[in-house]
Amino acid sequence: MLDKNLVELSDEELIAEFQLNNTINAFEILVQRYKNPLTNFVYRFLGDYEACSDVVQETMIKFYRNKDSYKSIAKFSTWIYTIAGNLARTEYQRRRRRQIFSINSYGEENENYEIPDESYRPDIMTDSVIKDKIIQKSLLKVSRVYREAVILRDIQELSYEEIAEIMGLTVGTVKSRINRGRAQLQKLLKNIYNE
Amino acid sequence: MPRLEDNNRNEKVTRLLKDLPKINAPSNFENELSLKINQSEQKKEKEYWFDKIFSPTIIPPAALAVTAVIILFLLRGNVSDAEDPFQIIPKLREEQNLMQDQFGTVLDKIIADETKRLGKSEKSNDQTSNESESKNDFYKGDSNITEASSFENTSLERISVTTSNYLPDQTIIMSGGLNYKIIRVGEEERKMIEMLREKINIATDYQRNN
Repeated sequence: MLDKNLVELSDEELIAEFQLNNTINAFEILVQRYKNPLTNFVYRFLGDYEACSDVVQETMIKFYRNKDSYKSIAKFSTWIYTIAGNLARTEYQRRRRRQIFSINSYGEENENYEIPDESYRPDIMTDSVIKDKIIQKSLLKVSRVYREAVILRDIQELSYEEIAEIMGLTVGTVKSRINRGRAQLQKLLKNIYNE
Repeated sequence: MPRLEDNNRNEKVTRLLKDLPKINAPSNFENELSLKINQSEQKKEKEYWFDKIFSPTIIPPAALAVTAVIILFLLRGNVSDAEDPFQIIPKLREEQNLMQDQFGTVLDKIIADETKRLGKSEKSNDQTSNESESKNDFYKGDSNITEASSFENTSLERISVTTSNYLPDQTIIMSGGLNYKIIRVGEEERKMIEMLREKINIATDYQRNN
């Protein structure tokens, strides 16, 4: 199949092509489509760009190696987000364990966030970057179970049904978690509202 | 739009989160990914061979073969090439001490007789041929024979026999080929032995009578 035709295919058609004919181009197109959304999701969840990049790459490797475990009854996006979510959770737990054993002297104040967004003017950028940092920091303070749901809903803009499938929960539980997460975030971001 | 379903009280939070800048993957994402995939493929190939060698289907026959080899080894180990120690003729001790009791037992008398006989044969050899030659031929350079021939005159004498100068079998090994060690016994010990012998004789006589 030609590359031009492949680009026009849906995610599900592309993975079917990859599964049946082992078409590497189909895989590459899917990587191209999902690398940024997954990076955004994992970064907001972990708060570390390097770790997030590794997790997304690991997600893609898992997708490549376990392509046959995908069943066409589910949406491809749900499947790939599930893989990324699981890996992100594992990484989060690992980092948390490591933090318990090595409480560093720098504290959270000196953490660096690489946000490669240069669309703002320099004078505004500083204010915007600080604001983003505060939001990100607050987001990381939200309980893990609520945070994932909030990110998927408010940042990744997925439907409740998709989130429920990704997290393996009912839609009702997802809605509840999103509300609780937002409430926690609201408390943490009081000062930003006043600005 | 699904966002309309959300609660209005969280509208500000939702807006803030939505306005967050989108984080993109690094520019070399694909290159790194292809590199990692190649590495994982190589690793997978290694794992494939490892799994093939140590696969569950191969392990049971391999274990069986190893067990068979071990059993064979153990059985072979039991079949020793070494001779049965009970079948080996015991070697003579390098050094033996012979004792001559003044009063003598049967054994002692035999030893004394043997020594006498050797002494006589030595004398006869002396008469017929060269003295030194005959001694060397018969006793193979034994210098202790003179000492042995003279012990009958003393109460307790000792003959030292070594592998280099050992006497013919009939002179050393008595009583059915057993290898005796004769020790020097003092007066008191000798009396004690005599007493024990008498007791044994009495006991033997008693048994015979009954």
